[in-house]
Amino acid sequence: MKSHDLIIVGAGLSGMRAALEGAKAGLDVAVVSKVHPLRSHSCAAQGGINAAINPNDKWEVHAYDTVKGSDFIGDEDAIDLMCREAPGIIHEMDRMGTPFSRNDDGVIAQRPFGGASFDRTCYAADRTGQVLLHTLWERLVHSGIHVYEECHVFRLVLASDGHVAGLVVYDIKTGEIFGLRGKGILLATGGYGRVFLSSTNATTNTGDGMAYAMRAGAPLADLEFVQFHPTGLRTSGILITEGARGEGGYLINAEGERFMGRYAPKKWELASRDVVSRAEQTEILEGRGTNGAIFLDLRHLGRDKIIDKLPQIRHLALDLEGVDPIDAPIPVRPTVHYSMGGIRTDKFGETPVPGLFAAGEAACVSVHGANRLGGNSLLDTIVFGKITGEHACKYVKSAQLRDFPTNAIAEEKDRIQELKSRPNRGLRPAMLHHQMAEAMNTYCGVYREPVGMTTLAEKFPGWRLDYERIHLDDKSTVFNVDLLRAVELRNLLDLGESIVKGALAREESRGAHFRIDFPNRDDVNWRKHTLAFWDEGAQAVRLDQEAVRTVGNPEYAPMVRTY
Amino acid sequence: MTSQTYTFRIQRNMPGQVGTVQSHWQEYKVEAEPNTTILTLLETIKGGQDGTLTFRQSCRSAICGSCAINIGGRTRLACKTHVGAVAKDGVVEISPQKNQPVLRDLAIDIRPFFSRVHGIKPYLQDGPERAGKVTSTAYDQVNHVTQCIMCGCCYSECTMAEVNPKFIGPAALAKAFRFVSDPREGLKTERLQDLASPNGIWSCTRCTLCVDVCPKEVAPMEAIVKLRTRGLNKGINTSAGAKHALAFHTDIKQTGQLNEFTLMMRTLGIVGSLMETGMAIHLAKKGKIPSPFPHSVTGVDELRRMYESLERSPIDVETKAKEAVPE
Amino acid sequence: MTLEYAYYPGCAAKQIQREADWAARAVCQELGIGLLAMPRASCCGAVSLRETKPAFALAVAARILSEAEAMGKDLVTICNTCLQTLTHANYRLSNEPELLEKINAVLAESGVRPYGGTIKVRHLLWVVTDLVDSRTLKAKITHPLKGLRVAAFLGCHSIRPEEIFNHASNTNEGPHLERLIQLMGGVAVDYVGKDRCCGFHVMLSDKHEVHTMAAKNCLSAKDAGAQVMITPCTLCDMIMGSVQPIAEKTVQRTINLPEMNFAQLLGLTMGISKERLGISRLHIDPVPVLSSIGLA
Repeated sequence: MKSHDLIIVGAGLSGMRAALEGAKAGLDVAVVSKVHPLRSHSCAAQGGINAAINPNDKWEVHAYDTVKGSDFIGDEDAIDLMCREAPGIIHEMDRMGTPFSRNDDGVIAQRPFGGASFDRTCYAADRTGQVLLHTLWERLVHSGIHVYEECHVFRLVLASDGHVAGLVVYDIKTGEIFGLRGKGILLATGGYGRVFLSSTNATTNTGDGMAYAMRAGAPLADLEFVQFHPTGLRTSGILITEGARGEGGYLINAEGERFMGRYAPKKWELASRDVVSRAEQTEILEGRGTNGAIFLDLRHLGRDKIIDKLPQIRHLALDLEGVDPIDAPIPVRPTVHYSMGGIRTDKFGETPVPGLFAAGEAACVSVHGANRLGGNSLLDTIVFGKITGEHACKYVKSAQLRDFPTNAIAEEKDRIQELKSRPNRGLRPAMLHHQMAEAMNTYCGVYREPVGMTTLAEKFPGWRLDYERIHLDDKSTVFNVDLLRAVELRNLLDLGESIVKGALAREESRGAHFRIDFPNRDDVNWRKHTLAFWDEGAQAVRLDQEAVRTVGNPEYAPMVRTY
Repeated sequence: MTSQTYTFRIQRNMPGQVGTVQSHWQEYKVEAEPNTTILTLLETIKGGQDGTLTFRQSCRSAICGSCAINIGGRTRLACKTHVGAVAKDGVVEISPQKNQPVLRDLAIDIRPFFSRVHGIKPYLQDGPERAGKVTSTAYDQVNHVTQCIMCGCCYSECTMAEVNPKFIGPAALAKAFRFVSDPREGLKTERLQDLASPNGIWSCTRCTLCVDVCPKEVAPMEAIVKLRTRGLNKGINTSAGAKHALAFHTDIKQTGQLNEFTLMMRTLGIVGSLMETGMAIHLAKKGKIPSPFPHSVTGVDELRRMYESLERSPIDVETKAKEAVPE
Repeated sequence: MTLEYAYYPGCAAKQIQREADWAARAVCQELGIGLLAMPRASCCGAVSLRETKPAFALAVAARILSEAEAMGKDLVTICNTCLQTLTHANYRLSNEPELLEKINAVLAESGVRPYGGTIKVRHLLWVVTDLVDSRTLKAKITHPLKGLRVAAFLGCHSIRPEEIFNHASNTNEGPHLERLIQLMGGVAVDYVGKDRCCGFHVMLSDKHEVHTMAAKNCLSAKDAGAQVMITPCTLCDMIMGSVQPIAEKTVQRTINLPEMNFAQLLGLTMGISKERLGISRLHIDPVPVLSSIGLA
């Protein structure tokens, strides 16, 4: 069986940045990714990456904005660390080759973004994530690090002492199931948008790493905090960047009214994402929407500005909604976008499971708390990719390879064989997925109420039984996507259950989590993280709580959050 | 918009014995509005009719590059192609990308494509040509090509790749231009020398297909043209392609006309010309060997003056990427 | 309406591919299209000049366009590469005012009339199919093709890039060349290679690849039942005809697909003599096929 010092799962921004630390440390690092690194969903981030690089800005202000944006539940040690590291990260990416947009004087350009008190968002045209991803991939190629491309992880394997031992891996291209031993495992597998029906996420975003970590005994934190992006396209949920509003776009309702002034009189369309999403949902619920959508109006920007500054947006609207924003407003609605929660780690990305680390959207460090600010997710991925990578490298230098329980591979092979041998009747994975995702959208969306959520939570045992009866059309070995989707579906079920149970338990409204029956924030009882564990005996998710990590900075004391 | 029934005629490919693929065509019917994307409908078919149908996809918004397949005779991203735009009499024909080995159904083996990209050293290198300062216009050229998402549409359509699998290909060459045009790159000349080797920049046929099929407006051939210009400016001119290109401006400057006789001689040398391809013999048979002494056009002195004027005070006429502001 | 153009045949038609020029002139005479000589016009430079001296290339193109402008006529050509080169330059000069100004300064300094950006660049094929009245054209086609199966080899540089050609050749009725085949009474054969590359521009650097390319395209036409191939481009003509006998050895198959310029076949359907159209200069003798429908 092959072994490596450190195995990184996921080849998006976090995973690749972490891998570079391994190369720097002279370790044997390998990356396992179910897609080619350039297909990772980091590429879809359009807007930008925050950093206090302007001499008139301060990282402390960035940190304060982030604490406030998180609705005072982000972990302050991690937020301080991220914001302090941010300028260095930008300059490092610049040196590596990212073509950041420049001001006339050649300095890296910055733009305003929602929830930020300074024009702090660095960018590369309207494809920041893509160029950052390509830059890190370039460095990855340069480093010669081995990537197990189009290889899906089936299971995280622990040794008898509870330390990570390695992974059971499935080569999508050949159908081979094999073990990989590692002294340390770093999960950088991204988010879980596909738990919901309407999502800006890629179809590959199935939160695999989160589910595997939980099944291996590492808790997930704050899964109830699901960010709804205010401007997903009505039909597909595809993202229209916040930049469209940054450039001066309006949100209007079916009556043509620019309504944000009623909800955020100071910042209007550039209020924090949770605030804007709820405002939109209110308009829709109160009958001032059209077919479940309100509108992003760019017409007043004029043809030239739209063509010059928002070309990608215009193409998306034309291609996917058949609307030219020059002539007509774009139908948009709040759409699942980002997971603030994830695998619980300390500020160095370490989980409670020895040898297991997590970074990026898969992790809950937690720098985003209950609501992430635009421009902070790309930052999170690279900063904590680097820090966690560095930390994991230090760890594996003094760690030993553990014995790999070989029955783990046999069990996975049996599981797949059993799945393939089921008769062709009953539910197909796509149907079960649709049922769950639709229910999640309906009962665990922008507004949440207890009856719906209870109904939803009670469905999971039934869906798990259904899952045991799904069948595959495709029994073949090469590129069996049908099989892959079925394996991912179990992960989605684990995460969906964690989300709804967390949301039902949290009897307050904070950040992206809004309870109709508890419309206010409750700092006395709920300024704490929700932890979710997998209960093997009950075959269900079990919850616990943990305190927020504070640093004693009086400025970070909770206050009413207005924009 | 009204929905209608479309027939998807899809090439199914199953791996057989080592290195072989069994192919057949299979038809599916789907109900859709004309502006529904092909990817949505492939998902509909896979989810509701046939779970064995295999294709790659991920982001659904034309930025990850996964879903490039041959739709209606052209390689396109399934996620941004509307069914109504490609259906002929209600039928859409779909097959995998061309010029690359097929793994299964519509999924190709992407490794040969990426090995070519790896071959151009796709990373910034330190070296003597690295500029110290980056200006606001430093990426006017870089930004053209950093829009590339490595989807492979251009490689699938490339007319040279079709007959010469060793050709580096449009995507990798565009990527190479990304570094050559970056002020921070330290080894530009070395790169240009490498790229002028056989199967490199001079093997592009200029067929312009890559420009038209690119879903991200990268215009790979434009990047190849610019690589050639930069190579020639550095005096990298020993390849047949480079000599051929150089002959043009010499002729135009001197007579205003292309001298096809001397063009051959200059490109290949006298021996090379005589040996050339057997074509010369065929041309000679038909009395088609061009005169070595074509007449000059009227006003050839004007051309010389234009040439000299531009040598004295050069004009930068390279197209520049428009700065799209983000977010 | 009289159709009169500044005629820019291109270097190939002046030297190796003279028969295309003869045929173009003969057909235009029949159709009453005036082709006015451009004595000052130089070689367009093709993509090669854009590569070696990009600014000079634009200036050379501007000088050619300016000559047509001074004549008060749009420019017409029978070479796809000239078409693409001049259209590309014209597109940029018409859409980038600053660029036009700079190039005009060079022209003025060199004693050349500045270009005003008012000229359209057309292919003779487009003029024949789009601008000549279809009844006039049909009346002139006295020797129709009687269902002859013709492969239209479109040629890269009159169809790509779409960005510069989408106005000039915008039509929903299929490629001009295929429409012309139908107008002549033939059947346009659909085949894989029709919009691919002849390989002309790498014929000296990658000759084996060019042979394979030409062979593949011809064979794909032949396998689709084509009896003859026509192109709108003197450079495609040069390759698709002369390379066939050599390529046959490379691919170990007989090709033997007669290939000619579109104007030559059009001329034959108008009853113009083979001699005037330079049919004997073709590499693959079309007479056996043509005589089967009484055309030769």
